[in-house]
Amino acid sequence: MITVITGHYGSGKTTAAAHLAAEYAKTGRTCVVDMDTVNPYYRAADLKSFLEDHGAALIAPMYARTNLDLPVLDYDIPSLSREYDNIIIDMGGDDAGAFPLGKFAGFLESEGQRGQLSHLFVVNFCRMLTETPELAAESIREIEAACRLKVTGIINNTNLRDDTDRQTIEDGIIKAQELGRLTSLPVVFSTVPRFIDGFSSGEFRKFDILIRNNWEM
Amino acid sequence: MSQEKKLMKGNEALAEAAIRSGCKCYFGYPITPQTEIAAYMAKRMPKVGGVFVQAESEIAAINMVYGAASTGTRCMTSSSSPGISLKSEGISYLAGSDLPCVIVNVQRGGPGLGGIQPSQSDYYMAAKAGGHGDFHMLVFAPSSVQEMADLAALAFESADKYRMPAMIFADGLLGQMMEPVAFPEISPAMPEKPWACTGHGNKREHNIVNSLYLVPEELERSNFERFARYETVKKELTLYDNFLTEDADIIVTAYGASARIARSAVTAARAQGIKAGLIRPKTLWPFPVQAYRDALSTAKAYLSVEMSMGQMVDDVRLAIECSRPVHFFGHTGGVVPTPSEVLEQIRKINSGLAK
Repeated sequence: MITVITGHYGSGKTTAAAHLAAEYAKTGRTCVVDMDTVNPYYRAADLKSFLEDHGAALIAPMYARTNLDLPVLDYDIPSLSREYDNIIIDMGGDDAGAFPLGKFAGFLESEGQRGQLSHLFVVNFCRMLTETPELAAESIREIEAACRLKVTGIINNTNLRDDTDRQTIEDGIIKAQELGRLTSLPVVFSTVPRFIDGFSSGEFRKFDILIRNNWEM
Repeated sequence: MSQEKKLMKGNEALAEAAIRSGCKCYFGYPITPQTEIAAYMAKRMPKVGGVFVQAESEIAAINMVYGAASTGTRCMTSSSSPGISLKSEGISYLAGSDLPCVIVNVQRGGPGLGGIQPSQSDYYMAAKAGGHGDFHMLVFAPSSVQEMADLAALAFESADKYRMPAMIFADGLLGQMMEPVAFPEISPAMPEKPWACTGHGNKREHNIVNSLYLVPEELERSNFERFARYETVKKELTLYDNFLTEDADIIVTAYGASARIARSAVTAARAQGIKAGLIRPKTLWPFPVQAYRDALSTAKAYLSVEMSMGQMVDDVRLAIECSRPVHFFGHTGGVVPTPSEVLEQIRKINSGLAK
């Protein structure tokens, strides 16, 4: 099964990929593929130890986390699919970040025909430029055009990091439902920071804030 | 409902604040870790009736700023360390022509092409030598995503008020990290700019924007006039934050992202019974000289924490005229100091004091 994660910059793609990997790793060989070619800061490769602690592997370009700011992809998704049961592909932000997926469009399309592909769009309605369902829908269209792969579901990751409260979550749910209506896409789940109680039914997932600066620890 | 908070990267918050401050022209060129500023401006400027240009080089971009600023239009360019080196000639011309503008430096490791990770090693370039000739620019040092927005607004206002270039002096960490940010109502009060080249329409004398003086005495006079203005700026716009300094034996000082780390270390030192405090400059020019002098009443030692080989530390020594030991701790090349490393330095200095 291949899961592609796209979305606006800073929407929480890497955090979603890592949490999904931890979940999938319980049932099968799982890896996260770092395919972010647009921003060398805050990428899946930064979460190597989290992934390994949860039994998932990290596949990242050899230059990730170095000073060589080059968009190099030195791995091959079809071969990885023979090694792993679950592949989670963590893309860069926006249409620019989704673009490199086109390299594997043919393979991914055939996986999709076999029902072995999901393409999840992560949205945080607290992020400027995707603060409304209309703007998020526009972002989905741009991403689909850039990577030649239809989005199949929405992950609602609306949060203000440590400042998130119940109101933030509830506002996000309403906007996510509206985005679902606008795009005819299912909201696969909504994330809730672990420090917020409740929201324990199946439509929610408890997430940790994984991207931290060292003075916050 | 009060101000709605958004989750933003420092680079995006700065760009949004610039737009809300009436910035109508942005001239950029991509370089990590500031590229989001250009990307954000490319998306937003056409929607707010502004102009976004990706120039052919950093040098072209700063000279486009020169042109736009000559008309009195609020304008901005941004880059990261190597790109700011390229802009330095243009910055000098802007200062020599008394033109207001905003220049953003989201610093990365150097020298040379260096690296893409955060750094603070352009302090000398920003605060001392932004280009050739006798001049200063305003240098704002934000330390949070909120301050990236707030100080951008202040930079536009101050640049206009004092007719000088202003720099937002950030680093890769501040540019890239995300924090909640609120945008206060910014109502860009545009001052009259009778000097601007906007077309005289045969109704007034034509204005000339220029930094070339044919007579040495005239050039000297213009420099004297500018430095008199700098004295006003020092009185009106020196900004800093004090944290637990009232009774501090050890004054830690840091700006930008380093100040976040230093603050954690100071808090940890206090928990261990060490009287540490933090002075955080929010403007690096003008430098908050008086803050360091005021702390002399209790301070026995100073410690400057920087992501450099030690640059601001010189200004701390000058501020207190070397009347106390001024120590330095830092990392460079894109390596970020940790709170525990800074705490270790504070402990070391403190045990030296006890003897």
